[in-house]
Amino acid sequence: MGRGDQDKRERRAREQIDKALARRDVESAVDAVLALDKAAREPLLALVAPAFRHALPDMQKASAWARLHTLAARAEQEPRLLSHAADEATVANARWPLFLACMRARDFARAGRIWRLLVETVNARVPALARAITAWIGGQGHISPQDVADLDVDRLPALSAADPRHGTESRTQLHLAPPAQPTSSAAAKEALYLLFATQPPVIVAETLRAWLERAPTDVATTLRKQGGSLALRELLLQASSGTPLVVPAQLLARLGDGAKDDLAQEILVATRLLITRVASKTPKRGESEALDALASALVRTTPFEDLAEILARDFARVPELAALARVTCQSALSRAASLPDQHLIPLWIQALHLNAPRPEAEPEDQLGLSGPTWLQAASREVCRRGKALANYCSKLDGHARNRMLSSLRWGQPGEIVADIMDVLWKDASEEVRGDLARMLPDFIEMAEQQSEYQLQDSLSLADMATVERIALAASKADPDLPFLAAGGLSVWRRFGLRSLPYCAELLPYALSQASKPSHRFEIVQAYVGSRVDIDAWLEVIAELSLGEAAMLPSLMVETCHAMIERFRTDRIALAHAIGRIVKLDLPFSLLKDVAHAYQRAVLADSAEPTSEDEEAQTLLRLMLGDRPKKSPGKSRTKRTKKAPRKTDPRSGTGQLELPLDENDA
Amino acid sequence: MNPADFADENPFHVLGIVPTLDPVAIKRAYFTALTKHPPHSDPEGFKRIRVAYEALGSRGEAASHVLSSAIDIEAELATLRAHHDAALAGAGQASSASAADAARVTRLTEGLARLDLETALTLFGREHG
Repeated sequence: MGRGDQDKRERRAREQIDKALARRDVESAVDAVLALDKAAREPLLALVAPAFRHALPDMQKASAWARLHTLAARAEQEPRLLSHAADEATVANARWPLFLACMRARDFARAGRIWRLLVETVNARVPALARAITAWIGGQGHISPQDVADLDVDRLPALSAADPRHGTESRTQLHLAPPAQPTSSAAAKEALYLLFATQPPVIVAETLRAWLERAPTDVATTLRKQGGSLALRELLLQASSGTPLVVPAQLLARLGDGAKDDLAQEILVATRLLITRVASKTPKRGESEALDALASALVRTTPFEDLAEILARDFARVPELAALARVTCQSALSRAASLPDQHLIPLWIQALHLNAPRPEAEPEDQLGLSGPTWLQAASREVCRRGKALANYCSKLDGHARNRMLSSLRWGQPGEIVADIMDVLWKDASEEVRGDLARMLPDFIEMAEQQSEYQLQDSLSLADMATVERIALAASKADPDLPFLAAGGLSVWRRFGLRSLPYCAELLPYALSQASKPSHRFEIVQAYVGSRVDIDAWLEVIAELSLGEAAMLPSLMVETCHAMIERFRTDRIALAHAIGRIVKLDLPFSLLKDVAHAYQRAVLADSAEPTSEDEEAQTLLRLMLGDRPKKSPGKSRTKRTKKAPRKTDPRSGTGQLELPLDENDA
Repeated sequence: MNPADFADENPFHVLGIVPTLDPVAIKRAYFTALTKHPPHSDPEGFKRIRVAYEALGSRGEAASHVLSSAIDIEAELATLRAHHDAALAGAGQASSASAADAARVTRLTEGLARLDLETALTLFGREHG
C-alpha cells in the first residue's frame, strides 16, 4: 500500500470521526478508528478516546447495556480507547460500565478479563466489594448470601418502584421459584410444605400436577396423601374466608383420582362442603364443575362405589344432591352391561329424569341431539332387556310411568326412543299401551323437530335431493292436517295404527296419512273397531269437530251415522251419548240425529227407564223441547201447535217430547 | 307428637354422632341414645331417636344424609391446622429467609448497575474507612 493511499484512508477516517462525533455517534467513530492499522490510529485516538470514555457513564445511566457490551468488545480490540491520555482512576471508571454490561449479557469470560484490570483498584478501597464481585463472576451471575454478608446493601439507592403500567417489575420482592421435584417420600413431604407455604394455589396445583406425572409410585402416593390433606386445609381456609373454592377443590379432585381410598375422607368432606355451597344458590363461578369433579372422585372410593346404584335412586329425593346423583348415575351406568335388571332399570330411569332439559336449555339440547353417549349406551342395554323393562313399568303407578315416558324423549336420538317404545309395547298391559299411545303425538313432534334440524344440516351440505323430496311431499299434503316429514313419518309408520285405538288425538295424523279420502272413514273405523263402548266413537267425533280441515264435518257426520247404526238398539248407550254430546258442545245436528235414534230405541225397548234415560230426556227437553221440526210449507208456530207430540207411554210423566220426522213416526 | 314432625331433623345430630356411613357406629349411637330416652319414661324422645335411626336404615339413605349434612368448617379446619400449621410455618420461615437473601443479592447487583465506580467505592468504603 502506498503512502498516498494511507493518507487518503486516514483523511477519510478523520472525516468520518468528525461527522460521528458531531452527532455524538461514538460507535461509528470507534469503528472508523478500528478500520485503520494500529500504528495509524494514534493521532485519531486523541479525538476518539476522550469521547469514548465520556460516553460510557451516560450509556450506563440510560441502561444501554447492549451498546455497552458491544463497546466492551471494541475496547478489548483497542485498549487505548480507554487508556489513551488518561489517569488510572479515569480508566477504571470507564471500565466499570463495560464490566457491568458484560455481566448483564452473561458474557462472564469478558467480564472476568475486565474485572482482572479493576480488582486491584476495588480491593484497595473496599475488599468486601471485591470479594463479592469475584464471587459474582465465579458464580456466573449468582452470589450466595454469605458473599454479600459484609456489605451494607441498604446504603445503595432505593430501586425504582414497581409499576406494571410502565413495565417496571418489582425486583426486591421476587417470587421464589417452586421447589424442585422431590425424589423420595421424605423429600416429598418437605417439598409439599414449602410449595404450599410459598406459592399461590394456582402454582401449587400446576406444580403438583407436573410432579405427579414424573414421580415414582411411592413418591406419588405421598404426594397424593399429603397434598390432598393440605389441599383440604386450603379449601377450608378459603371457605372460612368466603373466597372461591374452585382451585383447591379441583386440585383435591385431581389428587383423589388416582388415590383410590387414600383420600376418601378428604374428598367426602370437600364434597359435602361444595354441596352446601352449590345448594346455597350462590355458588361462585366454577364451583358446580368442581363439585362434579369431586363427586366423580368420591364414587370411585370404596365406601361409595358399591353404593352407586342405591345412591342414584335415593338422591332423587334430595334436590341439593342432583349434581352428585348425575355423576353417580353416569358412573354406574357406564358399566350398564354388568348391572342386574333390578339396578339397571331404576338407575336408567333416574338418569333419564336427571337429563331431562332445564327450561333454559338451548333448543338443540332440548331435542336431545347432543345427549350423553353413556346414557344412549345404557338405553340400548335397557332395550336389550325389554321384558324386564316392561315388567318394571307395569308395576309403576300411572304418574311415575308417565314421568318416565315423558323423560324418555330427552337426551337420545329418536331411533333409540322408538326401539324402547317397541319393546315396551310388546309386553305391555292395555294401560301401559294407552300411556304409550298418548305419548306418541309428543314423540312425533320431537321427531319432526329433529328432522328439521337435520334438514338444516342437509341444506348446509347442499343435499338438494332430500330437500326436494320433502318439499314435494309437503306440496301434496292437506294444508289443514299435520304434515309429517321424514322423522315424524317414520315414527307414525312404526306406531301410528297400533296406537290409534288408544288415543283419539292421533286421528289427525292418521287422516293426514290416508292415501285417498275414502280411506279416512276406514281409519276412523280402525280406531273405534276394537272399542266396544260408545265413548270411543264420541272421542273420535269430538276430535274431528276440533279439526279445521274442510273434509272433517262430513267425516264427522259419517262417523256419527255409523255410531248410531252400531248402537241403534242400545238405548242406554244412546242416552249416555246424548249427555256427552251436550257436554262436549258438539254440533246441534248431531244431537238431533242421536235424539231420533234414541227415540226409536225407546219405542223398541220395553225395559223400565233408568237414571240415564231421565238425564237424557231432561237434556233433550232443554235442548230440543222448544225447537220444533220445521216442515216445508208450514210455519214453526203452526207446526208446534198442530203437530201431535209423541210421549213416552212408559215414563208416566210425558217427559219425552221429541219432534220426529214423518218417516221416523 | 307425630313422627313426621321429626323428619326434618338431621338424624346424625339427633343420635349425637358425626356423619358416618359405618352401620356399627350408627347402631351403637342409637343404643346409647336409647338408654337416655327409654320408651317408657320418655316416649317423645324415644320417637325422635327412632325416627332418626330409621332414617339411616338403608345405606343409600345414610349416604344421602352424610352428604347433605352441613359441615363444621371451623372444627375440620382446626384438626388440619393442628396437623400441618407448624410444618407450614417452618417452611414459610425458611422460605422467607431465602427470599430475604435473594432480595439482598438482587438489590446489590441492581444497585451497582446504577452507580459509577467511584460512587460505589465511596458508598461501601465508608464502613471500612
